[in-house]
Amino acid sequence: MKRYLTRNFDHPDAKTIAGYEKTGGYLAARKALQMRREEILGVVKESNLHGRGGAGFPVALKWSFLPANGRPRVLVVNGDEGEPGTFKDRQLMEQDPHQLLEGILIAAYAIQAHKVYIYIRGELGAAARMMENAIEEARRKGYIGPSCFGVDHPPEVIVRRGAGAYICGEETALLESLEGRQGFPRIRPPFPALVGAFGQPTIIHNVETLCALGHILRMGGQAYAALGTEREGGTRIFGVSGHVEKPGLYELPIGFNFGKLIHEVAGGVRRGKKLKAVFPGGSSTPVLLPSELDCPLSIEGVKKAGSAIGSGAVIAMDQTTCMVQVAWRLAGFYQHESCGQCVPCRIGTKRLLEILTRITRGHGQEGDLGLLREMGQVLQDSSRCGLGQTCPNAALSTLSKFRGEYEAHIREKRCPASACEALSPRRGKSRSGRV
Amino acid sequence: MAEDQFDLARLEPILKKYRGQEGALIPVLQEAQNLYGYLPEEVLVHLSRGLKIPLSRIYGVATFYTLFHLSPPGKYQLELCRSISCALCGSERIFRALEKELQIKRGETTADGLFTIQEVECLATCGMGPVMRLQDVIYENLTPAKARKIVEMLRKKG
Repeated sequence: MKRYLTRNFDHPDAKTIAGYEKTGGYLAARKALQMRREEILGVVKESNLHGRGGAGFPVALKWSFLPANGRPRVLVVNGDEGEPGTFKDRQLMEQDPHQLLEGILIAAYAIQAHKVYIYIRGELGAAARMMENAIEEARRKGYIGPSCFGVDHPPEVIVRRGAGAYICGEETALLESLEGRQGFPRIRPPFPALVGAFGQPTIIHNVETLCALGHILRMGGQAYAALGTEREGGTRIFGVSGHVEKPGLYELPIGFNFGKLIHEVAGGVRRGKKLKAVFPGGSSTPVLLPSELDCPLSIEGVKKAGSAIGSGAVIAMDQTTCMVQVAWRLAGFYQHESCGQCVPCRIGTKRLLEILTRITRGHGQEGDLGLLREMGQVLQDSSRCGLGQTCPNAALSTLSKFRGEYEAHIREKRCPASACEALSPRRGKSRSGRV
Repeated sequence: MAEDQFDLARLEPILKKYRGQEGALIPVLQEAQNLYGYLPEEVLVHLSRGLKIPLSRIYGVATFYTLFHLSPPGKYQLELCRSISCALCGSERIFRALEKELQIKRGETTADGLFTIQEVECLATCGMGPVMRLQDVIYENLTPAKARKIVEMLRKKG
């Protein structure tokens, strides 16, 4: 299968601007910056490119929300990769920084941004350094600066590093962080396209989304669209982790069969074990059963199967995994990462964790499962942002698909996967190791 | 605490660089922390005056983000991922190996101030779990033996 986004991953020379240009780099930006802006918008529209960060919003539609009021515009690159299971953006920045920068130049020109902020997760120091180097190289070449490909008013490009807060991957929390405050998500409307960074109209894109732009301009919108399904164009990077033989990043055409990704591309379940469940798009998407995986990997396909494609982070779990423990571990994550601004999420994540801790330790009570469901529903319905709304998905989906396992923990004080230590017949020596 | 560690004059170049820049509080705190290893109270007070930002807001930001430290951390912070993908691949064994090796629990610092074991969330390296981050380097595919070796190497370095 032809690779686009990851084509330079085994090509270390491409990390420098000279090496990147040898692979045809910056030709697309050169071409795009001679085009009229509406023409670029047209190509991107044809390409059926959807955002790759999780929400999956059509890119051309997002751009069309910008107001025509002449106010200075901002492009923000979301490199705050932190959803458990997601590890593509770090590699895109470290392995091929100029591919991202080329996409940034195209987008900034197309939307007339005067400023670009690349917000990179604080923990990913190497990625930030790679991007800073790439910017410096491009500046020396004149690709960023006063006469970039002959365009007036080229944008200023600034790298900002996060400081350790998962919530800042949420786009309005990211904007708050950019402005030097705690990452508290904003109430929408107004949407960032109208009032974004520093009050200016702002477009926010995931790293992978922008990386696709160069390829789209090079091959044309229709050719890119043809790589994918009818409604969603191109290829995307799936990060497969957990209990598979060959975990890693795989770039596949959108619409590729989900089961095939796990059982063939990623080498199947490791050590000949049986597959139990899969998170299809990161830890905040509902789990799918092995029988539900015969579906195309597209926004629509995975939605029909009962979950969401999210950030393309596929986490596979084999038969030795205790699903209650998985839910407990993720509840711990979301409780820690809740920003504490809105009440349902601040309190709800805490209660969710308490209930699940109780169950995995063997202190589960009759009624806990009802409480769990109710708490999950409150979080989904009334949290301010995506974190609170999606964080109960792991608990709710495992509860509905593996209810027997929860009941065994509560009623029989038994962990069917023999993974919960407190419930193990030989205390302290669990058979399959804790999740 | 040696006095030169709080040489507040060292903050001047940072203040000069970012003065007038919109929303620069986080990069300022990051650079200040690079100077002192953490963010002592004196430094926050000085920055508050220099940036004309209320101390309460600076304190709010410094305590919101986990990468800012208000007290000196161990010299080597072993940041071990506790997230789902690494957990599925056995990160708990690495935690236990390190706890045993260093005779401390997660979240604690050794008496000599050399090591801190920190539980952190996803380090965006899920295909290579279990992973540990140490000073911007991410160690992948850890085993208990590999983790002990890293500790040994750091001990020799001192």
